[in-house]
Amino acid sequence: MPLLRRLRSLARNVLRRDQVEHDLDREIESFLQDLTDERIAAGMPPEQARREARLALGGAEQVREEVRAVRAGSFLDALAQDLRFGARMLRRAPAFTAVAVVTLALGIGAVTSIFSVVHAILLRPLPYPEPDRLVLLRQAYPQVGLTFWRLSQANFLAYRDRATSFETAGAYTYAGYNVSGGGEPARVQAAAVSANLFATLGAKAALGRTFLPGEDHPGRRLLVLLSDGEWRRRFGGDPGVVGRTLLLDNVPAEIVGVMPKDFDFPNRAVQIWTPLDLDPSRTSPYLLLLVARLRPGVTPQAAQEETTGILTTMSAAQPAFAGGPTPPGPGADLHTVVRPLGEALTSRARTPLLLLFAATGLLLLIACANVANLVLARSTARAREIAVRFALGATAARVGRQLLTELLLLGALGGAAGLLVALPILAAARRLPTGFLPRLEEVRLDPSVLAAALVSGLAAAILAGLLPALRLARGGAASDRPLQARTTAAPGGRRASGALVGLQFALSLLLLVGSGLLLRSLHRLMAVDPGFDPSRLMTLSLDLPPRQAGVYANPLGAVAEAEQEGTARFYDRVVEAVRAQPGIGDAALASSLPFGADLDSDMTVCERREGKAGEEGSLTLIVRTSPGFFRTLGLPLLRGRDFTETDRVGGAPVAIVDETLAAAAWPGEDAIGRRIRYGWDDGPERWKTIVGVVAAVRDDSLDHGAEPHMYIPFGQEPRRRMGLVARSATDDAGAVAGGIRAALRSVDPTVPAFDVRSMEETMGLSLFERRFTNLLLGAFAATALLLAAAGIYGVMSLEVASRFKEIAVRMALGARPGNVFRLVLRHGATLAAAGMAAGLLGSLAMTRLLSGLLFEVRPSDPPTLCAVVLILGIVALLACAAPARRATRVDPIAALRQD
Amino acid sequence: MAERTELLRGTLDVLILKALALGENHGLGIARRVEQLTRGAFEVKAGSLFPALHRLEERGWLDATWGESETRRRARYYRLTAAGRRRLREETGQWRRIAAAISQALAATS
Repeated sequence: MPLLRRLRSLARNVLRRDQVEHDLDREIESFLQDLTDERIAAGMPPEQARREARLALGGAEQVREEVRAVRAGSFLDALAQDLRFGARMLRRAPAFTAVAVVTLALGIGAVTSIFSVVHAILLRPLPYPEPDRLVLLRQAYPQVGLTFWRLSQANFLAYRDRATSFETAGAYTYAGYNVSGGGEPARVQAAAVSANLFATLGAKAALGRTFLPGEDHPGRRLLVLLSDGEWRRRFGGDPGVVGRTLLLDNVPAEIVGVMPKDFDFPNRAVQIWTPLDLDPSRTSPYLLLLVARLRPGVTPQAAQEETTGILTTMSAAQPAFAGGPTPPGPGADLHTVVRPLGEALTSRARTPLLLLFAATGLLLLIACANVANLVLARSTARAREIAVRFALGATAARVGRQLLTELLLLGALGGAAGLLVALPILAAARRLPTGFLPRLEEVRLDPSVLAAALVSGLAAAILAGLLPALRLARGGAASDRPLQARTTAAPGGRRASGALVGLQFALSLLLLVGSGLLLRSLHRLMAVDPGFDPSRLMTLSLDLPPRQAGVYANPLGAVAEAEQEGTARFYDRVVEAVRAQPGIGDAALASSLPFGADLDSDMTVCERREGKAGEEGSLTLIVRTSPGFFRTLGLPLLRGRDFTETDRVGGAPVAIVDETLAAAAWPGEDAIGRRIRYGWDDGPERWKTIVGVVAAVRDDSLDHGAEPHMYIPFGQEPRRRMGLVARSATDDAGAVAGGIRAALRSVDPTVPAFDVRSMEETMGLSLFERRFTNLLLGAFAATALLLAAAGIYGVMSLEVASRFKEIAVRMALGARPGNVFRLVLRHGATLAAAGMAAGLLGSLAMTRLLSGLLFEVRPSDPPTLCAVVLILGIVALLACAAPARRATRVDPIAALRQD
Repeated sequence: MAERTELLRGTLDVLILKALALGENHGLGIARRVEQLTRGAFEVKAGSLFPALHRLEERGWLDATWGESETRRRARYYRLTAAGRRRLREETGQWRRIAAAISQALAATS
């Protein structure tokens, strides 16, 4: 039958229902008239004719009903009827409905909120044309510990020009500028990009243009692209902004365009884009990330193979290319890593998010088990109603459909209520600090999230109701004694409830074990000694723009030689002014602060014996510090001396190493007096004599071991960007922030301080991701515990109620209340214990998902498992205690008299 | 399909199609014409006539329009569509085959 016609009649039947009904009425009326006329024409008196015609018609309403049943869309009518009936049934049992809907809402709210985060971050394609073809390339040299190795400009240009896998390839790196040009000078996060990066992504400017080919060549004047936000903040959304000038680090930059509001590459924090000045002769530093658009049909794997070949060729031809002080040997495992861009940008968030998503799935299952138990309990009470309906001739299919409709209604209500639970969680998620989760600002309630809520609601309802509905429909149809149903639950129903309670305890145990293990990991991490005393430390960052106006401030470069002395003097004055502030115990500078974003590492070579270099370099964190840094930080100087004011450019090059590096390079020997150098440049002036050894420090992250450090006097290698650390003399680190700012203003009011934070805050932020995951997982586990407790309470209450008579008989035969109490408790404990045993087995399977997130805790950590079993056991006993006590109050005589 | 299992309903459907093959008609007219065609073997009741008419209309074998009956009363007139004619031919062929097969079978056993 033609579909179109069918749809048309469906539309007519549903949308123009009144018209269709009216037509049918008139048609039957005219038929009746015709019948009457026929009889009158045959000579019958009109009265009799009318009566007989009515008899012949056989009931107008019945005819109408039959016609309605054959119409397209008749199932909709039946559905509406079922829904109305279902709604009535739910309204009639408000306690059941409320508890079931709230239970479902907890599960669905959790699933929906985490799903919307998973959807926004992991599933939604990047907002660029053909996002599947975009990849991110980095390099790796695992033999020397370089697993995430960025590209030098020479690397980038080699891949861009030689790799045939790429249609286009662009590069970017993070930068920051002191932006002025009206108002307070502000620190703005930026990305320095190759001119073709936007074309590679397929992004266009909303106003003006992006960068043109060649605008990333050295020696051009500075250009800048603004984000939509920066444009509105700084220029009030003035459409005439293109062509105007902004001062970046005091260098005038021409505004060439404004990006659209939703453009947030590489992340939302980046507010301006400037061109790189790409120079193929620069083999260092390694700061770039490469974004490429693959040619159609080329896989990331193929691109990785091709670019690895290019890397190998180049490092053989030009040893310095590989960045190490010694050329990589023939068998060196030097390779590139090419991953889909979307995946690469979100890789860190993947494991915690999937873990949380799995947890919400378990929570929803627990909620389902609870609702299933509620439905089971109610089905006992409804057995009579259903039996009556069977007796009145309803088919099993019809009754089954009715029960299913009721469940779906329950599921839809649960889904809607779940959205109410999810909304505040989503709102909270969007307020998380930027940078913690990528693309978080894209988290929102969209159709797919609404669909997720609805689908999980309906699926949960079906899952919860399947077992009870099957039992009801089958039991009702097969029953020879339909009206004999009593309030006594059938043994089969009790077994099913028991199994569901066991399932709940198994799943709750999984969630509790997971969150317990993560909690212990967090505690272990917080107990890790960073090697210095973080209390009362205040930190901030400064970036001194080049003094010489008009010189392009290359974000990749160090301080130009002519400016080194001036930079060093500026920072000397800063330290002096800060130290002079009241309430400041001590202050010092470092090119990278502990747990900060600016950690710089390079390959170092240690002189093993006098005049003889080690065989290969090793990756070392390099920090330029001012005198007094170790004292300020509370990092013990183990041997030798700290840097002094006289360690300046032109003096004998010196360095301090930490005990981690000293122990690795000179085991059992004194490092003082040995020499060390970094980078690939082998000139004699690169060697630095070690003058001191400090204690090991963990300043990258708490969950990595202490890494080797080399400290260089700031006076000998000044950096534009420096961190200031000051210890407050009082207990409150924040109290000195105002004084520090005043001191900075007195030195130079145009240099803004940024990232002003106490050290403890910074360390807390480094654990934020874990705290966040823990908090959510803990909340889910607590909810699971609550649901499991409610589940076992409900089932045991029902158990006691249904075994009323048995208990009465026992008591009549002399059982004491204590025996009865223990009887009930034992039954509950058996269910819970069986569930927990299954859960313990299941927790072994969870190991793989968790192991990446654990810190110094094994997945089978005995204290965690014991604590969880104990908690669940106590909760189970407490939940069973009330029904058990009720059992002891059974009055045998009254109970036995009931029938 | 339902037509094959529910013989009576299927029979009525094909009879209605046949009745309308002679020209458009309204409810009672169709009922009377079916009775004529079967020489009174079938009495067509409203309770089965109207559902059948609406079912055939939903399937696109009939078209219905409001017109005036011979008694100058507004009535709903049904007419065969092209698909309805095709259907009638198919049903007729099928019916003949079944009838032939069944009479042959009955003749053989008796």
